[in-house]
Amino acid sequence: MMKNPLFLPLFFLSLIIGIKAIPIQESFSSKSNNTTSTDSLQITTLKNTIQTYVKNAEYDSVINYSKKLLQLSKKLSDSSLMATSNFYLGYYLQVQFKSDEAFTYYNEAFKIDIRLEDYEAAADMLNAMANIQKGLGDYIGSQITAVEGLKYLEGITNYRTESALYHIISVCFKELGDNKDALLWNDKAIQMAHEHPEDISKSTLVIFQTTRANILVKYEKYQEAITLYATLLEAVDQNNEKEKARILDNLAFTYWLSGERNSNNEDDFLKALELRLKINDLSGLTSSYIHLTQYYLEFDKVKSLEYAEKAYHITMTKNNPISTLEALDYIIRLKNELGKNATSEALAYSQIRNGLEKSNQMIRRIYATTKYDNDQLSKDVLLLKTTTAEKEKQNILYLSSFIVVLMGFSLLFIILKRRHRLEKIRESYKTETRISKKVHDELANDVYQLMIQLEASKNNHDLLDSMEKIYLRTRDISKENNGVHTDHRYSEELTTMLGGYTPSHAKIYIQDLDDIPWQKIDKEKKIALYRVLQELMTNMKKHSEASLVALTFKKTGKSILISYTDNGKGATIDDKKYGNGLHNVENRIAAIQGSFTFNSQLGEGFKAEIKFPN
Amino acid sequence: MYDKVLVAEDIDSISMGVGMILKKLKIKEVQHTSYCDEAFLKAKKALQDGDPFQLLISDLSFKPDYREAKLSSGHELIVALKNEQPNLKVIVYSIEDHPQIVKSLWNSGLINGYVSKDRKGLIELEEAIAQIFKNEAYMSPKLALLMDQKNIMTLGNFEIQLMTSLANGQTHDEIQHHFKANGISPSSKSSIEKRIKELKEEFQANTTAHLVSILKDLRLI
Repeated sequence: MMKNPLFLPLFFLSLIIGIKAIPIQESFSSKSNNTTSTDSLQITTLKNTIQTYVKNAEYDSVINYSKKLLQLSKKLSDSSLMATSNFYLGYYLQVQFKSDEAFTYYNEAFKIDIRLEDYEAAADMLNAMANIQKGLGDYIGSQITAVEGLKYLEGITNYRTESALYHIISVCFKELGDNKDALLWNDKAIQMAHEHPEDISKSTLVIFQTTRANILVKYEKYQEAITLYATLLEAVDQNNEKEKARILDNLAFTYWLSGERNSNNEDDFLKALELRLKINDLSGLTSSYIHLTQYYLEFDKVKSLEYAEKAYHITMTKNNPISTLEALDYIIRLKNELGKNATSEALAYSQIRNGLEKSNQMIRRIYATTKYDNDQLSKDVLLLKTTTAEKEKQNILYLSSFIVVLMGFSLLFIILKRRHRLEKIRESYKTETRISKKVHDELANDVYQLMIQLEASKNNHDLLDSMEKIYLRTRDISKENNGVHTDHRYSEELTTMLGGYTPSHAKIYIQDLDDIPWQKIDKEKKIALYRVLQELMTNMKKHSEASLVALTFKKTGKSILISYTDNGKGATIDDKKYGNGLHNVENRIAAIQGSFTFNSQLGEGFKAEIKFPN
Repeated sequence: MYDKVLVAEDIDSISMGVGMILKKLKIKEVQHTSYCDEAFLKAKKALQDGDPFQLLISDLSFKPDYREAKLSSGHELIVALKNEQPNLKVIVYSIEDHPQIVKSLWNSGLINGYVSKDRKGLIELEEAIAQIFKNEAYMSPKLALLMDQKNIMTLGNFEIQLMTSLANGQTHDEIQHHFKANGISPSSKSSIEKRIKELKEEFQANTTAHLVSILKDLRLI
């Protein structure tokens, strides 16, 4: 938010470069939440009162009501209004040349702006503060404040304030005798004014350029300075008499400094003086009088003293200690040279000097504590930002950890479920193989023993035949449940099994079995598939009387697809002979999350589809 | 005939049966054992004594008992003994007829004979010993059949293309052109016709249409 002086007379425009006047209504548009309609009425009333006094240039009243506005803002805890009120106080105190007080209010406004994180307004306040310091001759302090202002503008686009700060820094360098740096900063200000004419007014540019000419004078580049002044004199808005007078005066002074001492010099000085008298430009008059003092110093000491005293008089009303001291300096020197008593002036000089010293010290103290507070504040802000960021980070961390934990649990759940499922499959597989081995090793062997003994006795062939049948059936049971190698031998073993179940009078066509990446398929799935095909083959062998069997393997995306077809008698699920085995197949396929569908009509063969994720 | 034979078999009655056969073949020295470890030690000792066994007849599965066995299966015993005495002849006499197991043992080169323990087992064993003595391998005919897997077929790309074309109603000429154009060989009319004839026989189809219908029913095309 920009701070706006209320209806500033043109007179004050250059008091603080970079602060733009807009109507008061807008500046009060921000309201805090606890502002009631009564409060806002009060604010409006105060605002109108202040406005009226500004118009009438009754600055004491302006300040009085601004103080009331400040109190109201405090009562309402409206920080924004508080900052604005402080700014008004600073501004109108400065108008009244009460620099020390003004500085304090600007400083308050600045602090609030920082708290509100309104860095643009904060930079504005620093701009005003640097201006005061500059006016009081504390160039180093002013520069530091201005640089501080630039820091707050980092990342913010506000060319008006930024260029104003460049200007202050440039002037300070000039006063400190560092012309090179003064030019450098002045260049920056001018360049910015050229590049952004929509933000920086032409009159501001003229001010920057005048400063440039002033720097050139200090550099003793008179010719350059004179050319620049001449250009500016043409460029300046002819209605801006204050600036026009300033340029005229400076031009005359430069001419004089350059050594071209002609009669024009005096005329030029007087022309500028006349203009300034007309518009009552106190600060300009001081310059004119001082320049005239300097001009007459060598050849008309009486006239010179006259002008010095005039300058002194004005500076006293203007409360401009720097100029006062300058004027007094001349007065004392001239009075001495003219054999006059300069005791009172000498006393005044030392008094003012002390006062200035005090002012500067006080401001510096304010500045120092503010800077310390600001630093603390910045640190706090930074800390707050860091902690907020930390908190955000932490929140993100918490959230992401929560998600991770949630995902972890879900994963764990899936894994456990899967493991449980796999364990079940494994367990049943183990049981199968164990039973298979037992049937094989014990039952089949025992039956075989018996057969051998019967064979030896050679007495009953029928008995022997039925014995053999029992024996073969035990072996079949064993075979149906024996172990399956799920390693690289799998596909071969599967093929062998399929062939083994195919009766000698029948044929089995196996298509694309080797297209399946068996190595990548889970062990449990391979076992399940083996068993399922074994079951289908057993059914085929026992009941179908099929002569042709076809098995097609296919891998589609994420699934393995196997189609079984035979040309046998066919069966239905209700078929008792088939039923049990088919249910068994369904269970096994379901356990590996696959699907089993079959389609069979009596007399039309048997078709089945097995599908499972790989 | 062999002079010295070792029998590893943990079922006494079977062991006796084997013994009877060996007696019949007039083998001088036959040693029986019910444990693989013991069989290994006996064979090794005989080898050290300069009087090694010439033939091992071994079962594959041995019922584990209270003894702790280093070698727990016939397979392990065979591997261990062949390592000590590579010229030892080996006959597996087992109830095991899992084609894969038979195949892997048979292809390992460790054994000379594989006899299925069934009703004709002892007769086959007798044959096996005789064969192996003549330096020939022996496998029970039933197992050999299982190993052969003559009834496992695969239709090649050519056949499937051919049959699919037929199913789509293409004439032999069209198929011939199509094959030529797509670089499928053989593409000559005679070889195409020959193959169709073979397939008809293979699928016991009376006509080409019948063949196509059979293949369609089997979902091979």
